[in-house]
Formats: sequence, structure tokens, C-alpha cells
Amino acid sequence: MHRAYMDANATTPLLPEVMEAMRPFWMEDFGNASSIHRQGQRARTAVDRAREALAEFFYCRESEVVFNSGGTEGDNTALFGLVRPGDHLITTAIEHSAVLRAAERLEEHGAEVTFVPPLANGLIDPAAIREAIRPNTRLISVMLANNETGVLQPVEEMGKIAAETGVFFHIDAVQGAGKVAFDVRRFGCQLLSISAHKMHGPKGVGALYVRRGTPLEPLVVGGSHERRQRAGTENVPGIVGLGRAAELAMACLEDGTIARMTGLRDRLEKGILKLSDTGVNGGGAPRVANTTNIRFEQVEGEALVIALDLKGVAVSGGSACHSGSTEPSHVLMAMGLDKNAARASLRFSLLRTATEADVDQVLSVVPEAVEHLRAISPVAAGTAG
Amino acid sequence: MYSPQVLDHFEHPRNAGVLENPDAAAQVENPACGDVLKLTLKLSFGQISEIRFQVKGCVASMACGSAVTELALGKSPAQARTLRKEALLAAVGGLPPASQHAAQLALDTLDAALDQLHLRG
Repeated sequence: MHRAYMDANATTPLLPEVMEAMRPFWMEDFGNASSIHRQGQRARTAVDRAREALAEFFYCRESEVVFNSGGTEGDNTALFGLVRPGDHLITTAIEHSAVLRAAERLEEHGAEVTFVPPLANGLIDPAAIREAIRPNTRLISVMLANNETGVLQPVEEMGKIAAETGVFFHIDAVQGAGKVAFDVRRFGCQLLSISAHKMHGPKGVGALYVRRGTPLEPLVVGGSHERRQRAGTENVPGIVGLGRAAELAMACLEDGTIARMTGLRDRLEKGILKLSDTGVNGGGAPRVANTTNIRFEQVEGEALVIALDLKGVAVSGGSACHSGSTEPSHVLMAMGLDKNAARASLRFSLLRTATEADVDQVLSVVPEAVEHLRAISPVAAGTAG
Repeated sequence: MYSPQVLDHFEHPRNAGVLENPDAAAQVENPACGDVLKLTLKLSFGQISEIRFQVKGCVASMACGSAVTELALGKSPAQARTLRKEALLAAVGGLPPASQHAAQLALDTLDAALDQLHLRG
């Protein structure tokens, strides 16, 4: 059975070019980049080359690129590295848990935190960020693209507000990487985090842009790696993979790939919306090209995920069942959906390599799966009570 | 994550639907997760001769709703009362720890339906 993978926002496969770039660094060029002998020099050269690629990707200096273990570490470093007890942090209600849980921990340790809610379309109003600023505000942390809805936040406007008020600005750009062009100066941020595996690179590696002069305290201390910003022997194969993935992502921003993905996503969305009682969450806002979040009223998202999986389509629901208490998506709830609507919503996120055949397969199996679940529901079709 | 039996019940639900003029009907909602299960059943010669289920919920709730109808069918109300969670779990080949509540929802709904018979009794 042809399987259509529609869960790129969860993770993506390595592209062959990335795999090939990484291959020598597992066994032949295995050196520690801190060693001064031949093996070490080869590893160092490879890390430096990847750093050049990331500097181009972020549009920053090479010395402003810090390699780490991925998006969660980047987000944690940004928050824990700048915010102290007594400081005020502004973030949003729709951030990834890597930011939300870190913000909650800061709160427990005596910092103040404001979680700005989104508008109904998933956008954060920059005016709401401005209104939240206090004399002790230290950091604003906002995501570039939401992982569940794909909604793109107006980070440039927020960056201007941060600059005007003298507040540091961190962007969690994990879901924007490879989907929109980055320019950290234009964004107006001091910190920006990305993860390799969301853009066809390997898992367990990422990078944090740290603007020169930002007084960021490292999260991981030890050796003098990464200009003392992140201790630990460099993950050379991973960093090489991230560098190659960044190069390929930059190329795809210019070769028509994004327009092609938009076309596929829109066809998918239009086809699904022919079903009754469906709607797009965040559809009214600017979005990344690959994501759509669709509500199927009267359907339990988890059941639809499994039904589609059995028919060869991999998608993701916003909620997970924890010991009998299903937690609906905090993102959709913050946008004003009720629990049932949030639990009835699925995310379709296309790979860069998605094809017309993938979309055809989704459109051929979704109606039947939805109708099967609705037919068996006591809540649908007026049989309730 | 789900057993083959769970997936089989999910894909091919047994006794799905709703009975007209049932002898007992019950609809129970799991307040924690919002899953809703409805059972309707008919008695004939002291036995559950027909039983149907409808469910809005997760895969585990659907499988347990389907399986509980198979276990209850042909039993007297008193026998059906003695149905244990372990038997239902065995019928679906076990459930992941986070989904155990689905078995409880199925048994609670069956109990609620059997209560109606008792009240009418």
C-alpha cells in the first residue's frame, strides 16, 4: 500500500544528500573537533563549514551560530539563559511546550510571566505584546510558525516593539525553518532556535542564533565548545547533516518548491472541506505552505488518526489520551474552540517531497473514514439523548 | 500500540447502531475525556436477544463498545451484571494503560442499561 506521510511537522526523513554528507563522519572522519591532530582537524573543518551554511541560513555572522541538541534545548537556553527571578517574560498561550514548560518553571522560581492569548484566527496581535510590557520585562518569546495550525506570527512587528522598549526577543523558529526565508536582523531578534529534523535533517541536533553581545548564560556548562555558549563534544555527523539540510532548505525557498507545496496543501484542503461540518483552524491567517488544521465535527480525532493510518495516511491529532483524560490541544483551545471541536481537529502537514499522488490518496480515504465514525456516533445525526 | 483485536473491532464494529423500541437504553459520558457510549438492548425469554452500540470516542472506546455487545448478547441480565473488566480487556486483547478507562465506560453503560430493566422489573 502506498503510504502518504502527512505529518512533516512532527518530523521529516533525511534527504539523500543529507545522508551522504553525514556518512563519512560516523566511522572514517570520526575525530573530536577539539583535537588538534589530523582526525580532529577534519572534524573541525566540517563543523566550520556547517557553521558557514547556518550563518547564511540565519543571515548572521558565523560566530553567532551555536549548535545544540535541537529546538527544545534552544528554547530552554533562550528562556533560562536570560530571565532571572524578579524579571518579567512575555510569551504566548500557543507556544510549543518547550517554551511553555520553561516559562512555568521560571514562574516557580520567582519570575513573572505573561501568556498572551491569540486572536480567533491564531494570530498574536503585536499590540497585545506591547501592552504586556512592564518596566521589568526582560524577554519576549514568540514562535515564528505554529506547529499545529501553521499560522505565521508577525515577528518583525514584535521585533520592532522589543527594540523600542529595550527588551530581548527570542523566536522559536522550529516550524518556520525551510518554509520561510530567515533574516534575523529583519526579524529584530537576539535569539532564534531551529531543529534539524523538521527540515529533512537528523534528529538530536539544532542551532541557536545568538546575536553578538547578548548576555546569555549557557544552559549546559563544561568544556569551552561553541565559544563557551554550549559545552559538550560537538555532534559532528549531526551538525554536518544540519548544515546540508540548511543549504537544501535555502535552495527550496527559491526554486518553486514552496509554491508547489502551497498548491498541494490548498488542493488537499479544498477537497476535504467538501465534507459537511468541516472547517480550517487558523485558515484566515497567513500560514506556512505545508500545514492545514482541519476540524471534523462530531468525530474524535484520535479515532480518525488511527482510521487513516490503517488506510495508509499518517496524520496527527492535537490531543493525546493520558490515563483517561484527553487533553485537547492548548493551541486550539486558546483560539476559542471548545473541547469537542479541539478534539475533532487533525493536522495535515506535507513534506517538501509530497506528491499529487499523496494528496489523491488522502482525498480518497478521508471521506469514508469520517463517515464511518460519524455513522457510529450517538452524538451525530440527531440520535443524541 | 493497539492490539489486533482492538483494531479489528474498530474497523469492523459488531452490533453497531441503535434499536427501535428497546427494552433498555443508556447513554453514558466519560466526564474526563468526553467519550460517549450508547447501548440499546432487547430481552427475549429472559435473555439479551439484541444489543446495539453507538460511540463517539477514541479507538479503545469504540473497541470496548463493540466487544461488550458481543459479551452481553445471549446472557440474562443477571449474568450480564457479572461481566468483569478483566473479561472485557481479554476480549479486546488488552488495552494500553492510558486507555483502560474505555473498558470502564463500556461496563458503566451496560450497568446503566441493566439498571433500567431492574427499575421496570
